[in-house]
Amino acid sequence: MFPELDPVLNTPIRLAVISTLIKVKQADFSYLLEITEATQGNLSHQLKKLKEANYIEIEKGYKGNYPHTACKLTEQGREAFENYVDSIKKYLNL
Amino acid sequence: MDKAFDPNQSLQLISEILKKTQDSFSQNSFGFKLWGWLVSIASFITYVLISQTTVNQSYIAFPVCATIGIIASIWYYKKQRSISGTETYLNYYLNRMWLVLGFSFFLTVFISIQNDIQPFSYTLIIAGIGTTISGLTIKFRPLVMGGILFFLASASSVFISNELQPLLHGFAILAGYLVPGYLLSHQK
Repeated sequence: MFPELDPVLNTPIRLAVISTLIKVKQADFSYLLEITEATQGNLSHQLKKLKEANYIEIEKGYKGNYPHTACKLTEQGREAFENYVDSIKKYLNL
Repeated sequence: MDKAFDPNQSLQLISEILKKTQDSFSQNSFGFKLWGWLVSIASFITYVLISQTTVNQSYIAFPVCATIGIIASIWYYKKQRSISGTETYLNYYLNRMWLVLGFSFFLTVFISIQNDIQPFSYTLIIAGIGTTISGLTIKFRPLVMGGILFFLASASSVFISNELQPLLHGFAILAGYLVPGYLLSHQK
């Protein structure tokens, strides 16, 4: 019996965001836009869902005169990603 | 918007993203080039002051170059951070390691001068530690070679006169910092 894949992570944009945050200490909104190739609206929506699941922290502030949004992975997010990778390995017999 | 996908696609996406977020090696080269020039110039000035003059403050070039280096480093890393808004864990670790080693470098020079001994054998070991670890971590062989060169230069320094030690230090920094630094700046 295969474990069910985490529905929060099992979508392209959200998985791309978490995969990015595994590697970088902190990523801002424009960097995540570039990496995920999502639209602004879609990325905002997906970030909100990740925040609601407590997988990421979002810090909003200003850099110079411009609004700045930075995202960080939480411990819960890291564990969820590790479990997700373990699950897909089982599915793929890796 | 929330379309799910299969495990194969997940794995492919994760590996694509990890490739996209690879560290920019050329970004790491700035520190090696800046400190390579400053420390080697300070070493050569010290050599000239020790061998050709009777100046008491023969190490004066080091605090002057260090001040320039600290100001330039702070300016550069603040600028980099505001441009990219992102820092990988690897760069975070390497930057902090060099910060601690840089502090150790100045403390070593200070203690050595106070004890009236040459600091160069010890500063070369510190440079060797940082350069070798950086090279091994980012898997860049010229830096590993530079680090090994520092260790060899440090061991060799005990066999030469005090007067020649800053000269050896200067050439070791040119070869161990600057050459790998420029090679690194041409990497992606």
